[in-house]
Amino acid sequence: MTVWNQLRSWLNATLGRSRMENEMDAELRFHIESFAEDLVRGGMARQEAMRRARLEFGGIDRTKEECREARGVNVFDSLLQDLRHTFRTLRRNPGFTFIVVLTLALGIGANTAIFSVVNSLALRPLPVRDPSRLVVVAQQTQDSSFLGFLSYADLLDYRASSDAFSEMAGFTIDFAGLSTGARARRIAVGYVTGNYFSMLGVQAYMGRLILPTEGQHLGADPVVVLGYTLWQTEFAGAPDIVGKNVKLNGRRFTVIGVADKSFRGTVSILELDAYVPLSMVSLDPRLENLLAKRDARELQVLAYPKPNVSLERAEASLNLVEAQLEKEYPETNHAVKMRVIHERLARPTPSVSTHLPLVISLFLMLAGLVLLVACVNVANLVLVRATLRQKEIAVRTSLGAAPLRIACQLVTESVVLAFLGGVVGTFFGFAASRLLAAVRLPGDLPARFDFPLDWRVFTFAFLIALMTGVLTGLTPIFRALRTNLSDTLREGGRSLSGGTERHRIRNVLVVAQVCLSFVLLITAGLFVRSLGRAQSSYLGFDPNNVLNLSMDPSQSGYDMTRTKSFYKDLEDRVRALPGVESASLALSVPLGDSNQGTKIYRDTSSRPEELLQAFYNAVEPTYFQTMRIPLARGRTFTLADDEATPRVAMVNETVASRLWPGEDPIGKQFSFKGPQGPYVEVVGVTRNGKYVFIGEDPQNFFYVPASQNFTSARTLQIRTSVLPVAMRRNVEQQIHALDPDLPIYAVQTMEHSLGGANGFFLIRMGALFALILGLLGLTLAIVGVYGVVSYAASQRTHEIGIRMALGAEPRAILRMTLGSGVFLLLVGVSIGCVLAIAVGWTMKSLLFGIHPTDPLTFATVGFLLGSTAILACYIPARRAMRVDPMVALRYE
Amino acid sequence: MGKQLDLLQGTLDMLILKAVSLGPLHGYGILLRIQQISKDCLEIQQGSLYPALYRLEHQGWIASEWGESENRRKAKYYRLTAAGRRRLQTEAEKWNRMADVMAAILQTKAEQI
Repeated sequence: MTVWNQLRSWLNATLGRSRMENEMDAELRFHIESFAEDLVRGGMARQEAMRRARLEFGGIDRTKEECREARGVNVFDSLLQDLRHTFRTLRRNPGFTFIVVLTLALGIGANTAIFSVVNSLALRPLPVRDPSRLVVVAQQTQDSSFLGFLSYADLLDYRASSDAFSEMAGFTIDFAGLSTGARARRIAVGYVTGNYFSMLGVQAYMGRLILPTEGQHLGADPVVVLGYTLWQTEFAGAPDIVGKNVKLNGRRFTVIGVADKSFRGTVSILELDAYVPLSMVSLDPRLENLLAKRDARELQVLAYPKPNVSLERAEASLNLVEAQLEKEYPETNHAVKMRVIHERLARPTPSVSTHLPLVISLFLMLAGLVLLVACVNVANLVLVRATLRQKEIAVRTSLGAAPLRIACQLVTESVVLAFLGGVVGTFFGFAASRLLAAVRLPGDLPARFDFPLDWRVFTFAFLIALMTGVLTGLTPIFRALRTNLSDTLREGGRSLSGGTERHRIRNVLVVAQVCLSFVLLITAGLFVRSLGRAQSSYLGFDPNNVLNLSMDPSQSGYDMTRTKSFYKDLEDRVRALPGVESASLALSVPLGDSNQGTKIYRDTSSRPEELLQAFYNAVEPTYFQTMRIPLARGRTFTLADDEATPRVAMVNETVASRLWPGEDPIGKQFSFKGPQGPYVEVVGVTRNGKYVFIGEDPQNFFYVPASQNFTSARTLQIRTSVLPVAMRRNVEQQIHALDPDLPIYAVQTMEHSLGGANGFFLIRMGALFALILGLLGLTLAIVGVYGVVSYAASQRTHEIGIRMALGAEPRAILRMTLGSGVFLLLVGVSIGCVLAIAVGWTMKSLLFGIHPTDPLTFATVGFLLGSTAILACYIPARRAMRVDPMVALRYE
Repeated sequence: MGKQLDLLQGTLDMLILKAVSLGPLHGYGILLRIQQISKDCLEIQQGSLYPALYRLEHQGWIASEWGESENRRKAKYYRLTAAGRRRLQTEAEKWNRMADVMAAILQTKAEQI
């Protein structure tokens, strides 16, 4: 019963607040007046009686406050009251509010933007069944630290022999030409094992998906499932698409369905256009051998461990199977280690995922530092204002406000400010992530960056706003509660020298700002220097004035003979164009999106562990001239090297020195197909360059003549004497004159192509992000330092006036004001140096040709930060120097 | 402040309950009634009376309603509820027991031990 009573009384009190207030007023007035009447009856004058009655009653407001508390109104009520008070205060100080909200918004915005990228890259679950349990199975071959894909044969054995998994599916991605009428369009196709969709629990938007029984025999089941986006763009969302025929690489396929709208494939940043059974790799000259060969490691494997099976146990069980496989197939499965990784930790592909946690934590940390600088700024502003408000607080305390109530009020204020900052910051972050989403990879990988603001991003923004609010609110509380009431009231909120303790807090804030922005700038500087190093590093070829155009006649259904004659005609036509210095066709582009890797066998007795992992390119004789790749020894390919003559190759210096140390490589033989050959003879050695990834160590690389190694997909590379982009239309016309329906893709200059994922893209993005964060931090810190120093100087106007009246030189005043600023700067930079070196070492693996303690970076950043900070100190110091002693003394 | 206030608070609650148990009273009346029955031995801080009244009402031991005072003015009258009556009874018992025990202890002489 009493619980009900209390609840009712609380509700009455809370909801009927004004009634309760009125009643309370009336009741207390009645008391005092009755008392006064009694006193009058006792012979006292009416006015005197009222005064006595009030006096004896005691503090009316305090009584009322206690009455409200007794009713339990206060928790809710005081919050409302605090909020109302806060909004009133903030409205009255629009400048302060604007600056604080803007500062916090910049900090929170930077964090939201970075977090939305992290969210999309690493946190957002795939739209599949039970995404938290989905794992990636990867192989670590030999001593490479890279996590690689699996072969189909291995996948079948692991699936059959391991008892740790309830299901396991594989897929691989390649491009194919899709045609409904005449012209083909290049699309990204996922070749998936039959159980791919059923394992992932993906639903069909329309029709059906690929079945577990499909895709087991090479060339069988020519069916295709369209991605929702492709269905919308290419087929205008035609409702009768199921059952229609389309052509992929010239082969007829039946559309069996459309995948669910939310499903975009299982690679987080790529969107697949269509899915076909794995058996259809027969379409693709590159993947043809996937079903047959155990060392065709092209499959990305996803799996669900059985319930209650840990990742370690799953991994152990696979390694057990692998040990068996190694005995059976020593040639292909030597020293293979199995890895089972949570799907979210293996993004975007297992091979690069090892760096992802480092990159993510680095950038989250940088964004966090920016927020900290912003917080310090705001803390300082709030502190300055708290100093100005000491009188208000002292008055409220003396009127009976409990310290706790005042603290609550202050926290409410900074939390409200932080939330305002959070709201504006989320908008900033949203705008920034829209800009980021517009970033396109050069070339035409179907990369899809989108950073939607989902609940994770909002929760994140909410939490950091809350944290910020509490953090910035605590400083003034700490101060306010320690001030001496009567002193403050007497001094009128201003003391002669500002109080040493107040200075100390503010000095710490300045040091923190300088130190944090130093770390931010060093990180940015190291990235920018890395980019400079990467861009000026020797690539082994000349990327200027080269135009690339890629095509794959098999996408239009060409066979080998037709492809060969097509390429021959094309070259003749292109070479005849004005402005073309030389032109050649190659299988791949250096530092491009696709690469061919293999193993090098020295002779028939090569043991598996001795094999050299290498990459290669199939090129034409004019390639070295077109790309300007210098020859170190021997000769380049000639037109005489064809199917009829002995097989030849050219190796780079790295291969030469590793395979035949101290010997002349010319005339030596090796095989890249298997120990049984065919063997190729080395006819030339090229200088080393960059081949696969801009950050690679010296890479084993060799060239084989395209005439002896047929591939359908090739890139035409043209060295021009005019601007390469100006040639583009001309060249495309020549291609379409030969075949109007052939899709041409990745049309770009070689320089542009170098900006791709294996080229400068990552370093550029890293440098850009770090630079933006660094400059943001610098700006905030400089504004903060300026604010503190000029406030401190203005607080000391009186003191400076006295000093000058006593004969101090303006110069001495300048030195004094500037001196304290410079001292703080030095302390901040010193601490910053130590922290920056620590941060630099942790990100060492992300740097390119730059030592984490790169002296130039440290010197430049030191100079930049130092000069701007000194300027920020100098302006107020100069103002202080010009103080007129008379004005300053009259100031109080 | 600590302990004394606690004791005083408990006592004040009991005094209020006793005062209104003799008939509905307004706040000022309660003050006068307590002074009267205590023969002016207890002095009550006027301001502290009301928070106590609000607390007791919040706990449901007394109830209030507006009525007319002897000088024909609107006043808030408090009366004891059934729960309040039980509360007063237990409080009084507790107090008496306590007083007996205290008295016994204080009357103890050396030879009695």
